[in-house]
Amino acid sequence: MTIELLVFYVFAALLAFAGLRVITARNPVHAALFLVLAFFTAAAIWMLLRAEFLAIALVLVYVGAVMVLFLFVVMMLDINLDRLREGFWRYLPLGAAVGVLVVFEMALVVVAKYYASGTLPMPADPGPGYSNTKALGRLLYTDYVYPFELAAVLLLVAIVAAIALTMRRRKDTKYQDPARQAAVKRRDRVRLVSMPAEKKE
Amino acid sequence: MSASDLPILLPAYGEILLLVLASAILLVDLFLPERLRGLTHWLSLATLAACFVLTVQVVRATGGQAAYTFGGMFVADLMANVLKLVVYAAVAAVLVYSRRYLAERGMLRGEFFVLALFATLGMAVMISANHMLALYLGLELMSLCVYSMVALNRDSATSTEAAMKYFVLGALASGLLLYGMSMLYGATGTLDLTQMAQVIAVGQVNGVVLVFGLVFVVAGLSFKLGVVPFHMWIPDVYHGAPNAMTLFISTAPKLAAFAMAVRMLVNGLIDLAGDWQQMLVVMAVLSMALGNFAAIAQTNIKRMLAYSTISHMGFMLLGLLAGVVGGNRFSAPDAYSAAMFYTVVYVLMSLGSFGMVLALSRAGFEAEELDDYRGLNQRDPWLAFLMLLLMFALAGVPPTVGFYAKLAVIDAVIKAGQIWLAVVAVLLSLVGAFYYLRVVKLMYFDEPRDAGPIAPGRDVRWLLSANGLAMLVLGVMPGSLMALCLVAVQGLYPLAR
Amino acid sequence: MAALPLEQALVLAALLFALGLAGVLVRRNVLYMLMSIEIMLNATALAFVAAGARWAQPDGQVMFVFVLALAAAEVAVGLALLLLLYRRFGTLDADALSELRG
Repeated sequence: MTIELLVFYVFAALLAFAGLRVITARNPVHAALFLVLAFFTAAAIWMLLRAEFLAIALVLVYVGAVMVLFLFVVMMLDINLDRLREGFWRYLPLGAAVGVLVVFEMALVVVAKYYASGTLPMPADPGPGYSNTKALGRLLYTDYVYPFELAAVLLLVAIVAAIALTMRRRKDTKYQDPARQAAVKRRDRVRLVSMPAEKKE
Repeated sequence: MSASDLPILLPAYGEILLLVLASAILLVDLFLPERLRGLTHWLSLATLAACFVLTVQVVRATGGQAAYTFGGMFVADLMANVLKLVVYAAVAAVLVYSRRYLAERGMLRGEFFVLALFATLGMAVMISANHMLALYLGLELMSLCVYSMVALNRDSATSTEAAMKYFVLGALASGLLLYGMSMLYGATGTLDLTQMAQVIAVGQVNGVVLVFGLVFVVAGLSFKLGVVPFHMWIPDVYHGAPNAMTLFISTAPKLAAFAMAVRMLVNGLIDLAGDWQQMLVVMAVLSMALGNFAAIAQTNIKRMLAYSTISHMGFMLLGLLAGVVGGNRFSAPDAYSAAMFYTVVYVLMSLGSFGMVLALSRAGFEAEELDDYRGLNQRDPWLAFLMLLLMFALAGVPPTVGFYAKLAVIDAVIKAGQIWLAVVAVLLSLVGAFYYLRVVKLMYFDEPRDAGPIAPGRDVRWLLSANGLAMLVLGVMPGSLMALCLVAVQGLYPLAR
Repeated sequence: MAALPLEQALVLAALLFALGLAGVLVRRNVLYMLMSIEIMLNATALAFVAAGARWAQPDGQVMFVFVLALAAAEVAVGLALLLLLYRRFGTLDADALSELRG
């Protein structure tokens, strides 16, 4: 067994463990952090599969943005820990059955010589001048330019949808308008009233 | 890169215009003063009309031939263009029907129109996709818009619940679909549907992996069509969503789902027809049975129509599964065109019946209980007559187009030699006729319960009349639409040989 | 470079996918459902990259880029819905969502 294989197994085991903990964790913060671990180990596996750009993108986009969003939401909500587990055991047989079925089918496929070519070797070392990012970029902006534009529209829609759903302009909220604050003159706020002095009785 | 390497944009003019104008509306709406907000509605209608005209021009320019662009990821064949025209018309009708409903509930805001237009773009992309990735992105574009449209009424608990259920199941189905695509890619080495068909036809592919991928793809597809086993979202979402959103979901996306099924199963995987046809048989029979029987027990018309959708989509599948008989594709154009005809007709029927629900509802009154339709004939005979036509069409009663659509599909099934399937379909349709005719009975033979005013705008009344009478006109003269569907389907890549 | 069988990467993908699927079905909390969906999408991405490596094409990796963008968009909408849901029902328990039945 070579060192690469060993590293792969270690990361694979870690990934599976982290995935399992995400769906079994009691505390949503723990689950989110295990999801971060899962993405980190997945990134390490991309590295082994010679997909460096993906590894970096996964860490930046997922761990950096998506998971922070998740944690942010978890922190915003006041979730009752005890209620989380309710129904877990009730639905466990169903979920486990589905999971086992999928793994079983998958194993069947693998035993039946997946993709009909025996064991597949690792992608070969493409040489020192090769840049994974460059290769992906070239493909992304030529052959895949149509899906690329579609993905841009998709992200725009996600922004519009998220704002439309969550932004509420409540009437009783008090706003500050800095422009109006700065434009205030003394006479707007203070009224000088001259009163005759009152006599002492 | 020289200019000749750039993709030809002509076949995609309609989509490009839609994208540009939808983005423009997004910006314009921000700066419109409150009293001019109604303008967005007219701008959206104008956008759809412009896309409609431009798509007609594209058909003229390409002469109805299949035109590929963007490296073969986008195809504008006749089927794509015809379906897109129906989608634009259907979305425009949805906007007209729902205008008053939305205005009365404070939802007539820019977001609704922008999301509806982007969803339309997603549908157009799906209809024209010749690549798994484009198909998937179009699907997600449409789905994300629709999820959020369902939840747009933020003060309604039922809408929020419906949207969440829709979202979770939809994301699950997308995951299944994507996983299936990865299998197909692993087995064939391509995601381009034309190339995939060629690779499979050569026969150097591991069948196990292909079928395995196919199972996942069909599962994902069944969610989008809303057939058993992934039908559970339909009643809840139809019921929980605001009426206008239900109208939207139940019409144009069905055309996109049909196109998606045709693109994947017929364009890409027709050599596996023996496998997927069997899956479709099970899905079709279960959907028709569950849809028709469950609809009988409903007291809410939106829920009833939701179950009716499940049964109608199951019926449509009968057309798709009757195409290839023993590896022989001679009868495929007839069968697929019957399915396409059925889908288009279903969209018209659904447009009319949910349009009626919207026309009868008013501020604070949703008109979604069956009891609200009691004695409609005494209150407004013309609307009652239109509803009668729509219900007859849904039930498949002879002079209406619903009968002809069912006949065409059943004819295809019988030609494919599956007599028992045709018998089951007819029997289950008879069960279905019961609950449609019950609505007719309520309208004509019961005393009215609700005494509120019925005041749909003049535009809604005209459109509803056209929609209802179309059931009759198309039923008497189905020839031209049927011929159009046939020509459109014959232009599909695997059948053009 | 040692031969690292890609089949094992595929088995890992299947395992992760099954975990995600089971998570969506078993956990009744909407937040966990969203996270399970993320795991599922990540598993499909792994399957795509492995399949791409089998054909020595970078297309599988390109697919991953799109899946990533998509998942991010989906999460944004999903979390927005989740916030709405929490505001309305005060819970994230999917079983508590029972206004629509029949």
